[in-house]
Amino acid sequence: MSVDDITLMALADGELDADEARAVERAIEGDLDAQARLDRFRRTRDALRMMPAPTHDGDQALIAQIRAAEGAPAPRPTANFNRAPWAALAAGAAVLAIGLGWWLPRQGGADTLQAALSQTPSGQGAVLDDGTDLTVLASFRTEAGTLCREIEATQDGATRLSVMCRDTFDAPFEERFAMELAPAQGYQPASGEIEALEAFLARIGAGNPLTPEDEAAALSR
Amino acid sequence: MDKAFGDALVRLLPNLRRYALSLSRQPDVAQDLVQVTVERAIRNAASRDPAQRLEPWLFRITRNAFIDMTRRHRTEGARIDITENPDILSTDGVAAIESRLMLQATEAAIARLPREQAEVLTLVCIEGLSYAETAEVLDLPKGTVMSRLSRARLALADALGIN
Repeated sequence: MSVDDITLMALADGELDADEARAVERAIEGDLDAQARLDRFRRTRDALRMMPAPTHDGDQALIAQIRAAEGAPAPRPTANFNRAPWAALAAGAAVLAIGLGWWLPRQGGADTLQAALSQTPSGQGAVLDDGTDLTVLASFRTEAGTLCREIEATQDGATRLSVMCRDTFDAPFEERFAMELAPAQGYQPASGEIEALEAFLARIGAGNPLTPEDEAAALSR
Repeated sequence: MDKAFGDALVRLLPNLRRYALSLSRQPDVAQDLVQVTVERAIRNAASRDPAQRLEPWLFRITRNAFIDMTRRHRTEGARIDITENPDILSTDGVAAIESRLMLQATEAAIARLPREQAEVLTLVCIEGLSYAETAEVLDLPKGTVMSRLSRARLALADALGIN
């Protein structure tokens, strides 16, 4: 029985363990067709191994950038390629003030706030009884396992970015971080203005945003 | 970020560019991808699992950057034959005219492959990643990597007259 191309390629590429490799070599002994096919995979690999890597004039600038970062402290302890929603949001608005404190919705807002936080999936919004327009941006867990939700809340024309967390399933969500935003009016905020948020997320060991499935599971138990 | 990481990143710049070229097929886009890869690598150096080899980690960043870019621009970009842009081909260490011609023929043959075949070929045969590492970079089952790679190798053998 003839040995298939994929197996021959794996042999040529050293991807078989010693026993498998011996078995295939035995199987193709005297099989000139299979040996020719094996040879094609070996020779294509050899041809490619000699390919020079392209260099570029821009490399010097990149090397300088890399050297400059050596010895610098890591900006964030956690991997996070998905912090873009925050950055995009903050980039379009001027940060007016950074106030850490409890956000107390007006009469009638508090219960619907808790309901909205425990039910609304990320990317969706809800209107609270006091008229506050709430959008959930993302959910994540801290190093300690606390569930946190990043929200944007607009009330009377003022927009607030908050991180609301609950330490246990039964506990209410509490505001742990807040930042007030107003639409930019001919003024671009400095790039460092979300540093406070980044620092806060780093301090609590914020993980990557939860997937929709993980978020649904976290909200239901 | 420590010096060893910086050294490794500098050493791998040409490899990152080659992979970026196999993705974008446009030298200027490839350069942007390498730039983004370096920035993200520096930013996330501390979060890398030191048990994992650096190459697959970096290639994955490059690939994600490419996906971000194509999503943003919604453009495929014109495919170009990189042999028509000799400035992106290094001549280092290639003395004999014969091997130079072979390299050019190989470059041209890779450029004619479908992008997904060129990509696995680059990662496995040029960059030396294992099938498992390649599957991880591409977010594909290992079996898919192997079937794409085998098709790419046979097409390359035909193009180069390797019988």
